[in-house]
Amino acid sequence: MLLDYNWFKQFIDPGINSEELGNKFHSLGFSLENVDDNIIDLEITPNRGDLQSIYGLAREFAASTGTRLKPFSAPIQVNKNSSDFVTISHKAQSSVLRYSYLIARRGKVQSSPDEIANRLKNQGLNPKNNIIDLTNYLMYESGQPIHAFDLSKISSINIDFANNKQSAQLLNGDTITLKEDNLIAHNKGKIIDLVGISGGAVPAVSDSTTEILIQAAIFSPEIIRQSSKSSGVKTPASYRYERGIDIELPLQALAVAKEMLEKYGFVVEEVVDLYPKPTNLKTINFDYAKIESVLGFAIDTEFIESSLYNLGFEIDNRLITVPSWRSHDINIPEDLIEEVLRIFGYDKIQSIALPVFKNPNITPNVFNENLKALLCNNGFTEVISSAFISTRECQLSDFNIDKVVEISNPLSDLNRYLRPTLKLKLIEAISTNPWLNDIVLFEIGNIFERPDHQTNMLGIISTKSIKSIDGIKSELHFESLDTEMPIMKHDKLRRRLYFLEISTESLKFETDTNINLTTGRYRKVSKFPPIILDIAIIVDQSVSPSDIERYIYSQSDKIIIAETFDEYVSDKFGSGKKSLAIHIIYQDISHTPLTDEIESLHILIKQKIVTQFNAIIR
Amino acid sequence: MSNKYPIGHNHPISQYIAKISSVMSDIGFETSYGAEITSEWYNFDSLRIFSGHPARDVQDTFWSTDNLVLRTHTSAHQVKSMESRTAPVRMIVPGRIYRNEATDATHEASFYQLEGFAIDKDINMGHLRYTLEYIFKKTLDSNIEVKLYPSYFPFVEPGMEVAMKWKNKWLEMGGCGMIHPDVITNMGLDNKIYQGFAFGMGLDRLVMLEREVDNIRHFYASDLRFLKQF
Repeated sequence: MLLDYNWFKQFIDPGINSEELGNKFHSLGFSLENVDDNIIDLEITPNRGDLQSIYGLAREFAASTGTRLKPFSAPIQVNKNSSDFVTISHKAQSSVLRYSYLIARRGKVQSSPDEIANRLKNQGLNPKNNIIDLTNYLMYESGQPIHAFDLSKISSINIDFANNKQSAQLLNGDTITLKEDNLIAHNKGKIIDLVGISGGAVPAVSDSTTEILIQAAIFSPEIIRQSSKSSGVKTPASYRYERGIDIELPLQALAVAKEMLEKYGFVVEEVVDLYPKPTNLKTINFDYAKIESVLGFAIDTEFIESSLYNLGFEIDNRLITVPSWRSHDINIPEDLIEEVLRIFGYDKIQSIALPVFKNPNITPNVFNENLKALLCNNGFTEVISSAFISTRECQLSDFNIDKVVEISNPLSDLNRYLRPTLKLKLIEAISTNPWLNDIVLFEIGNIFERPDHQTNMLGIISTKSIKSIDGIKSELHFESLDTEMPIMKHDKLRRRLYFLEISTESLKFETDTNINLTTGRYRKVSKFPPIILDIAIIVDQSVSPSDIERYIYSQSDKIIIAETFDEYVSDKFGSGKKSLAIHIIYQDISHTPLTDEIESLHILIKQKIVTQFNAIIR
Repeated sequence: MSNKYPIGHNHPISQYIAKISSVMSDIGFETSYGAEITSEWYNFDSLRIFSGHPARDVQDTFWSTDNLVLRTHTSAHQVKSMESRTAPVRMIVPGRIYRNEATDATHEASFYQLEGFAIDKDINMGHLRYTLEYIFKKTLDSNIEVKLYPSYFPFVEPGMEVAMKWKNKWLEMGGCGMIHPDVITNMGLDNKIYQGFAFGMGLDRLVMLEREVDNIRHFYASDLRFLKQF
């Protein structure tokens, strides 16, 4: 919602600038997206349809600060409560909560006054003519969607649901095919309005229009939402209808419309209000003690009542009457607590330590985590891969497609199916790292089968055969994946892989290892391929590989990974010595690393290690 | 002597889940994971996100051809988990969730969330604030400041947004509030006796801050140049 600061000031002087006003609304629960000069972009939560207007926001500001607000407008005087011109079919009656309109004649369609045109431009609209602009202007100002029909082009307005496959041309020129859940207005069978969403092209107001019907109606939010979804048409009007509109607003909006029309030379001849089942105001019993129980602290009765009063609630001995504009979101005492708290300030909630609770469901061993830790201790690296597979990946595999969970509405074919195995994505993970020779990866995650079966699985994939895993007691059977398999070809894998998949529930393993929490911070990975060079050295047994790795990292920002891959202690290297082998993965953030440059760097690093750690190059 | 190299690496998300599970168990929270594919009831209606309400639009949903839902939030486990428990309860739910939306550096079709809730006779918003501060302090930075703003989620009332001050900037971290009385009823509890709080945060986001990761996609790309850093 774009809040136009100058327009806002028409109803209330906030006494603060636009930036401060934006922050005030932020503190009331409406995220401040941006302030551009005098236009404040606020995110209004979907429960607050009453704030989808300049006046609604002014009313909220007035309530929260206890300042005075200019009343919007007194309701217009109604001439009639029935109509021959507008009919509502039996089927549509429960969807039309209120239908108010006025008829005006003998006016002239021309361009709008500058102030109105400019305010509409600030909302991102192109001004058209004074009548179309009036409908938009009033909606942005009051929150009431308004529609204007050219009376010379229709002989009646009949509200009903559309017939299946009926077509309609909308104001913007698009022709759409309707369904039975679209509420429409027709004139002798010809559709003139997609009700609550968009007017039809035919009775639209043009420069030659002289007589008009201005509609200010309330439709069921659910019906408009359904109709908007099924037709695929969303407009600022449907957006407001879906969020609920104050049932008292139509006559107030028509009063302003009348004033504006008279300025344009029109004569308002008739005001009709079709409102067969008036809505009663809601009441809520509010026990103030509930506030302390929910917040953890008490608020003065006087503060509670003045806040609610300022927000438009009526208070009679703890029976609270909800104002008509809040009937869509205030239902229970907790809603009232939130209202009081919004005014009181959320920052006044103090932290209170949770009482001690011996939770019987906390077990000393966290099953999956112990397994993850154990596999890590075996030198395996954990991946988390996508839970989706594509149609292509599905076709390349041999599982029974009828059992695979299929997504009916994916945005991309990559998200067409839920994985029935961890295999495909683990094979892909190997192909993601073509520069490494020896890789062992594992994943613990769910696989799926129709309709809603979920099984937690361990998957391991390796470039070398694995005989046993320390800490796992179950017998493990690795499958050998041949390079001729379609999925292996798809991932361009030219070496044999070994794969295991087993349900974690059926696995027997030692549960006494915990995940080692590392402190690593992310260093940027280049999108260009790396160069991997190794170092093999003989050092004293007391030298720790991690010290050497740290030393290597400190030598150049081109080193993304330094990883010891072999440590061998033997007297054949000399008494008290051991051999170490280290991979160094070099990269360049801005381009493919230059071989010569990296090789020189590598030689330099080797020399420095020799000096620093008293090492011998093997 | 056996060769313990190369050393393995646990995924930074797994490390965070291990850390959060451990610190939360110290204040009485169990860890539960829940189902990733679930019904419309558990994901939406039991949480008052009704099909006729615009709040549904906020979460673009993957539907299966069997008309089931890939959970759009870990809150889907609230009512389900209470079928086999009773109050008092304290639980965190770290796990994978799904959103059917266009992806970029901060949005993925699937990512991790951290849900938490506590229910008893006298749980209040002060306890909620305490728990949120506890999480940020224990897993990110012991000096962190927290701010609460009003907000709206159909399954909490009052509803809030929690922000924390990180490197001198206020970052919105997630939604929270007091569990709506109808949701307490849907859990099979008497809402005149029991009340509680719930919160939900992006777990990836927490790990991105913890590890200074700039793109959520790194987590799911299986690139060893990334994974071996942790």
